Amino acid sequence: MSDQELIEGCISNHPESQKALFNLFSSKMLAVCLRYVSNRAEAEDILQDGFIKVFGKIGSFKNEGSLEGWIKRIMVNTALDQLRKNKKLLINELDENWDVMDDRESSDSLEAKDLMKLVQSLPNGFRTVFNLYAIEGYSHKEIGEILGINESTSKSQYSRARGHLMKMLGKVEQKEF
Amino acid sequence: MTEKDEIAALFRSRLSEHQESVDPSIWNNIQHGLQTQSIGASAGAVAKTSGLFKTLAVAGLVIGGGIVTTVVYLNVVQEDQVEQNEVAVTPVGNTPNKIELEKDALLDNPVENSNATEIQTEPKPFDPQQSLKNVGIESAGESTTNQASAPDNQTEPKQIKNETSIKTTQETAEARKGSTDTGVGFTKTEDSNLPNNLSKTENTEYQFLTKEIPNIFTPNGDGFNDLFSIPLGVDMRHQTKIFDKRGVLVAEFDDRTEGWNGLASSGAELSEGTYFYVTFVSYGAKSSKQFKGTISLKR
Repeated sequence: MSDQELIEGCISNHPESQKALFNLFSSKMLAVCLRYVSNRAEAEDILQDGFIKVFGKIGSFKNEGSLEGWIKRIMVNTALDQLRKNKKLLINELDENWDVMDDRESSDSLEAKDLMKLVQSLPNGFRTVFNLYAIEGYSHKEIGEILGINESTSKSQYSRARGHLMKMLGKVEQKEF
Repeated sequence: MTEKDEIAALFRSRLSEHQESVDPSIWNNIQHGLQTQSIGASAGAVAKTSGLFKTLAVAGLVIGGGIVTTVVYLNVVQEDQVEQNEVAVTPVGNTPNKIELEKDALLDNPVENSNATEIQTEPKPFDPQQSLKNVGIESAGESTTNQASAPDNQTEPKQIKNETSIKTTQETAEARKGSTDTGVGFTKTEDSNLPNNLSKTENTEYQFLTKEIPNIFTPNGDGFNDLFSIPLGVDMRHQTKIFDKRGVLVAEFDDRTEGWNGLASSGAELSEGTYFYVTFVSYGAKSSKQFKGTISLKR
């Protein structure tokens, strides 16, 4: 089934198309959701809400970008909504109880799931900015607008998040810290 | 700069295509959610699975802190207002809405804004939270101002770890579930001679409390004033959260216990001093009211 057929099927609410679309993208989208929250249950909640939105909005998907990119944006939106709703978009906080990973592996041997854990272990504000900037590829200006913070705040959040990640990766740079 | 790119590139390359195995139950929930949507578009009380999850999330938030508590209600109210008005932007130009719009514009380009409203206007069943909703409406004006100042206070409740709040959330949910069958016997007895007794038909003014909530208690085991309890009106239920001076939630209790014994949720004995409480008294889903105040703990 091509993307186009899939989309049309979903527009006419065919359960089979909907399920096919879900099967096609859910694994990747769960990984996206997981990056934004610290635990799986919350990520699955976002995934569910996100897909319900996807099916509700799919009629308005224009074939301008990739379907995957579109769905991913909805997931990110849903995740941000969720964080906002839970007041977890806390910027500027430095969690004192924050642990540095004990086993410092070199980044080469790190697998995706380890990196995922690192991202998830970041405080919420750091994690959000880091995700949006480093992985989703938004600019600090855009992030500022999305999160309602200053561009400079986004920058500093990102650099601190990065610092923490580096520390956790055992790559402490003396000249910077 | 190169270092920055290196870190970003590392994470991007490993994570942007990363996949996680999805539990099959999630599809069932989505399907259920879709069905519920098409059947009961206007029936806000229909429970849908994701709605329940949402409720959990919101409940988890409530635990987040006193200020946050009010803000949640606002959020609920916002959704409610959005439902009613069928307009994405609700009154009182408060920040979240603004952000929502900007975010929609930015992240959601392919989706027209008119469609974006559709999402928000979907009924969000908050069945167990119905009471909270009511309260939220009552204090909507006040909450709005709270919300405006919220960012300043945001750092306070963060000490509560995610894991704990989720756990407590589940407990709360269970508590809710459980408390439907548990009676509130002790209140019924003292209520027979109330002047403003509840009768659902003739008077909409419910009596939530039989007297004022006390402002001091002495949990020292002397058998006198050992519990902080809410003097509930007949058939009323309550949920109460206790916050310390920094706004950190330290304990909570509801009508299944006679009162709070001065112990933190962790079981630790809390030090003497002043604490804040936020208590929700509800009469089923029909009516509810929020009471706030301070309680002094002395041993």
